[in-house]
Amino acid sequence: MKFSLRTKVVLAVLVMALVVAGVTGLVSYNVYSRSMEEHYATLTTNTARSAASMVDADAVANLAERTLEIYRSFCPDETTPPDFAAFTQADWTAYYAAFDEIAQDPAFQETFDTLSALKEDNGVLWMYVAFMDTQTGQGIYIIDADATEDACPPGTCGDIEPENLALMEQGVYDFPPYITNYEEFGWLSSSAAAITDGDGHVVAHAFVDFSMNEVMADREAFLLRLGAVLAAVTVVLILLLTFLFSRAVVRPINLLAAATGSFVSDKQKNGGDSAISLLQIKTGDEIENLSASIRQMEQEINTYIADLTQVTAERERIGAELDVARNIQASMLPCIFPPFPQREEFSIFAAMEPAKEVGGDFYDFFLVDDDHLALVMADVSGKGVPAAMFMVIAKTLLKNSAQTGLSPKAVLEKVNNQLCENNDAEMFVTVWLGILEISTGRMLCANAGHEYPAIRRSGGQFELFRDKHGFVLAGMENAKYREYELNLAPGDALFVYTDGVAEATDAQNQLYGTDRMLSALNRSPEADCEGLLRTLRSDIDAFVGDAPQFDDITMLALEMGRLEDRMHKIRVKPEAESLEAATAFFREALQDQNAPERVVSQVCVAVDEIFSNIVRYSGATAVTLGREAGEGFLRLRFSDNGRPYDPTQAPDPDVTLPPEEREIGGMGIFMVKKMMDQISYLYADGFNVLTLEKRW
Amino acid sequence: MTITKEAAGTALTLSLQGRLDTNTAPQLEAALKDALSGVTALTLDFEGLEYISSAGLRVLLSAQKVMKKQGTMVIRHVNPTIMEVFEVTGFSDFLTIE
Repeated sequence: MKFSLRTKVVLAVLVMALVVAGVTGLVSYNVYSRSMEEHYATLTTNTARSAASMVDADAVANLAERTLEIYRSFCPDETTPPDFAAFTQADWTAYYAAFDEIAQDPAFQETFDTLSALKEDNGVLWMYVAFMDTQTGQGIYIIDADATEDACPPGTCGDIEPENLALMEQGVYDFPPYITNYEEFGWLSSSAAAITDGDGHVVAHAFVDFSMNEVMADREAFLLRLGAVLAAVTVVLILLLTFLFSRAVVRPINLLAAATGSFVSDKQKNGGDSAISLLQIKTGDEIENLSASIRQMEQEINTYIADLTQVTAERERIGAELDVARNIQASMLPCIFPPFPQREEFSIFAAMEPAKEVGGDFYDFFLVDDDHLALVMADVSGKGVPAAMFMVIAKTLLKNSAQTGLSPKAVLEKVNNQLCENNDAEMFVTVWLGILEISTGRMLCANAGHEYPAIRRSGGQFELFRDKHGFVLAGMENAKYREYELNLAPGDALFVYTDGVAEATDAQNQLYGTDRMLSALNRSPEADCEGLLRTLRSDIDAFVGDAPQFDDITMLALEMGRLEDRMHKIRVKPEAESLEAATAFFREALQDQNAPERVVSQVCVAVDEIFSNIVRYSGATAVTLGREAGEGFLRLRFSDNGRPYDPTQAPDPDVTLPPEEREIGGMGIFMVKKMMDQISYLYADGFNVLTLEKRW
Repeated sequence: MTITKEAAGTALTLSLQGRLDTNTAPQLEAALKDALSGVTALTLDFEGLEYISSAGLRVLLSAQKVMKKQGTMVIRHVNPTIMEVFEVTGFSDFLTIE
């Protein structure tokens, strides 16, 4: 249940007032009653004593003796009072008539007058003299100083109060004042004093009854008044406190609540002053302090929000830039598969998954020329943007060097020195580089501190090839690297990767390791390169579970074609001096097939025309010649990385013109077309590939 | 390719041996440039010539143009491969082949 502060204060004041009023009322009532009672006690006692001393004791003794005697005459025995309950009207008349002589006595009248005067003077309600007959337990009236009709005649009996009886048994004859409230008489303060004769004998008792009805009524009125005053004071107090409390506490708190409640909507509405800053709370107490604190808090929150907004914007900008960086990085790696759809001699698949937005791992593969495929797998030290930037440099340098036709060893040595030149960040990169001669399957490799490659011979299992590592790139200037040769037969496969594979960890910090990697790779021997990588990737994911990926995971698989499409190829420099070697390359195959002399000449003319065209016009830096000979045929292939040019589309020259009008251009290709049985052109992967076929 | 020259007055005979291709054509071009002045009868003996490429044709064409002005040009002992080239290219239409 919720109560407002105001209600709580009213309730608290009410409860407090009730308690205070209760205690006050009780205490004042008690004090009032006690003093009143004491006053009456003293008054009653003194008056009784006065009465006892003023009467003539001897006369009273005589009257008492006679009264007792008459009384006794009615008693059945000495200890039993008369059976008043059984008295008839006649009995009563007879009884009181027996005492008439007492009232007629002059001593009675004398005492009556004395007592009456005293009674009048002191405002006593009743005053009488009675004899206490302890034997029958009855007090017997002797003289009642009452002139009215209600006066008790002599002989009237009444039970002695048990307390007084007990006192008399103890020898105490002055009865202390006591207060009674009989319905018949109302509130009475009564007391009695013994009347003694000259010998000190108690002859009778003088009784005094003061009426306390008025006093008691006064006491109730006092209580009522007190209650009324306290109630009034309480109401006033409640009103006053509520007003003060409302002013000093409730109103400022409500203001504060309203101002703080509208903090956000104020901020959204406009840039003006907020309700908090406009607060005017001057209570001079804790609430003013609270108001000041809230105002200060608002200012600090505003500053904080401004800072946070700026930081968030900055972070968003950085995030967006990192996103762009990631895209750039991703687009740097060859990611269209299959990358060389025209090549049936090999298939290749690779994947990189960075642990953070941008990573330091990379793979690369590209054709150096028609017959040479370079493969790169590398891991830059560190992570994030610095690693990514270093990766870009390393990747570019490696590709540039490899494309000039350098051997892997020479590439690594050259790139190492280039990377060392301005390596202030002291980063380094591990690289495995292989350059495959596609036609023979011969692969030259060099390893700069990178993981062992895994090789699967056709029909066999993947095994690590423990090659000789050189030092990492960018680690030491003029480092030397070793080169080794792998021979890949059709159906053989090669797998290279970064340490993110072997060092993937699960929640228990266990390493994935190369053993798990090899068994995952060997699980599906029929899978293609993409299938191999997917199998391995899902195996790593299953192993790692919910643990976070710490390192980039990068992998590349190469499989040599199972199809027997093996042209014999050589690489020659695109210059005129190579014509002799090119002609000899094809002539050799023709001689092996015992081709007719005429065919040899025709082929030689074709080679001359095609090769000299490449040398002169293409701008190529690499030319690969391929040949495939069989019974009655020779297939020739020329591939160069020069400008795309399709000779089959060249217009035929007009061969009917007289010599004066002849242009010699275009004649060579025309001759080739005429002398060869088939000519086809293809531009693929940056290479012009021209295939001729001669049959005989 | 080797070129043998036999001069008799204004008659000149050049015997070619080997291949007349991109690399050797400049050789013949140079020999003709030095020797053609004053020649009225040029004979090219192709008996020892294996084949001829378009670069060779170009040299023959320019020689033919020169000799047309100052005399005659005859080609002898053309083997079938070279003959095929001449025919394919229409050179047989204007060359004098014996």
